[in-house]
Amino acid sequence: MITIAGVSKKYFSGRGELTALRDISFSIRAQEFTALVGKSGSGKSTVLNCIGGLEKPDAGLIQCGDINVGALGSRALSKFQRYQLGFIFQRGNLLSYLTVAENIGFPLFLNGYAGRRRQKRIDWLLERIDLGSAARALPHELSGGEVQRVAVARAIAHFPKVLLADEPTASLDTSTGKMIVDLMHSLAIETDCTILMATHDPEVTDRVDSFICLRDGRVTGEYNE
Amino acid sequence: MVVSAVSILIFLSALSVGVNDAMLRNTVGLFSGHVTGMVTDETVRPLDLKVAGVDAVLKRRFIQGTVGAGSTIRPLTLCLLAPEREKKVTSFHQAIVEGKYPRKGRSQILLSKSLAGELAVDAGDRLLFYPGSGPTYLELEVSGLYHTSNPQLDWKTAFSTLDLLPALELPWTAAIFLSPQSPTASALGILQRQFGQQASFQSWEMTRPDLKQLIDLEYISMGIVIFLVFSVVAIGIACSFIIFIIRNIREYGIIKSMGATHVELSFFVILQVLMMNTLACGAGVILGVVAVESVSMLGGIDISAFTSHNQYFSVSAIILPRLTLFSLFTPPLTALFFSMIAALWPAALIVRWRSAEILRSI
Repeated sequence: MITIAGVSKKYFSGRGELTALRDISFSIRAQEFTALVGKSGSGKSTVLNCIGGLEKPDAGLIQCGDINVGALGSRALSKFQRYQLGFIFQRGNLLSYLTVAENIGFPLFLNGYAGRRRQKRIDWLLERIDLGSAARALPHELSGGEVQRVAVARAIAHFPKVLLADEPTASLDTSTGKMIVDLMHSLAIETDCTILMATHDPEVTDRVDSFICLRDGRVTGEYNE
Repeated sequence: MVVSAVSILIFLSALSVGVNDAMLRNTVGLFSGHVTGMVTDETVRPLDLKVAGVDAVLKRRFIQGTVGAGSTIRPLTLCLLAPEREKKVTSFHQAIVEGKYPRKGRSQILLSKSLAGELAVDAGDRLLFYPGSGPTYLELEVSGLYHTSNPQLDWKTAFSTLDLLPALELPWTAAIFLSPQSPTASALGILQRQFGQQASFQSWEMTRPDLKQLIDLEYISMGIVIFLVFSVVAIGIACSFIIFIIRNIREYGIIKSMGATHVELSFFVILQVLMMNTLACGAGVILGVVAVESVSMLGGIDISAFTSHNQYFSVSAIILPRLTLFSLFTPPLTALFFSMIAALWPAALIVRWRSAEILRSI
């Protein structure tokens, strides 16, 4: 499903050149739940960003299904991101001026879901994340766990083929973190979605099918459960 | 910024319309009327010309001649009129600085102060008027003196009553005054259609091209002011929205990561700018209207201290700001236009940045 081959990425800043990824290669099977583990600064987020088309690698190939992500133009990339991809960020990153229901509905709106069809999907997801009563709440009225539940629902709402999660449990306590991963996993199974989750928390990897370990921008190991 | 700019410009535009109104009121209301008709058919009476939109019609006759007092003679157009009717319709009587209008059956003449000075006569003195080029003359008493600042009236015209020369069969002239807000063009059209064979008509725009140009210039300068103000305000709007967008940059990054296209992102930014500016324009319009109505209710702005030698303000220099479609809609529409242009810069920034850059920058 996802193939990474010889991908490198460097950043340039006032502090000079920083190599985030050094010729990494790995592959993930379809509908598998994979954890990308490594310390802070090991390149996990960069891998996710490159797969999601949020940034371009300097070298290498990123193949997602039959799509060469690195070669997509801006229109095709938008199309790929809105139809095939769901993204969960570390801090939820909900749109602050939209309600919980509107946040969940936003990718549906972008994907052309309208009227009852959209509302039905929103209602179902609200029920699944157990936040039906908070549909009209704004993100700042929610707890950290609730924010992440909404972020999971938003990422999965439009039935993406790939779900990329960038340390979704980092700002949560262990039990809430486990609950978020469980939710992510069960929703992904229902939608036949492939999950790649970056994390440095071993406590939340119970449900993971395979691991990819990163260190200083290099893949140091791949394990299957 | 937008609220204050819109409200101030609505007030200024209304003031500019008020200045135009005052100039028109002073010019056509002083003497000439909105439409002037040269009636060649004596069967046509003033009342016949009172068509839709016409408030009053004054009958006048003009005789060319010379006027003399002592050894001084001057060419003169003597306007014969009905003083009582004139007083009711025109504001000319307010320009009489000494004495009064000539009285019917009294062989009197109303002279301008400037001409009286040249002839060395005063109210109550007598002078001779020679109609046309004939040797006959009339001895007239100066009933009063006037001053209008209008060179045509102040140097070349004098006034007497219609019964002064009843034997002369001259075509009469109609000074036609329109009701407030009646369009001159429509009244002129009706008069030309109905009385085109018996009379020829000219609107004030034809007889006073100087005033027409002044009014046009007033609108042009107001347009330039509005454009310049909003050019400057647009930079402010753009900066405000850059700040607003930078504050919310993460949200745009998130939307971008969900696959929003460049067009959609630009649309979101422009829509936000438009919505905020529409609200600001609405508030600005309300404030502007309140300011205009307040000043009107307080009796307007008196600028007579600056207009003593200006013919366009010879009778009254009180400016009553008036709202028109131009004054009411030009400022908010210009504000919206410039805010759209101002939104392009922040929209371009959002489109140019990569989502990862945006998300990493917070």
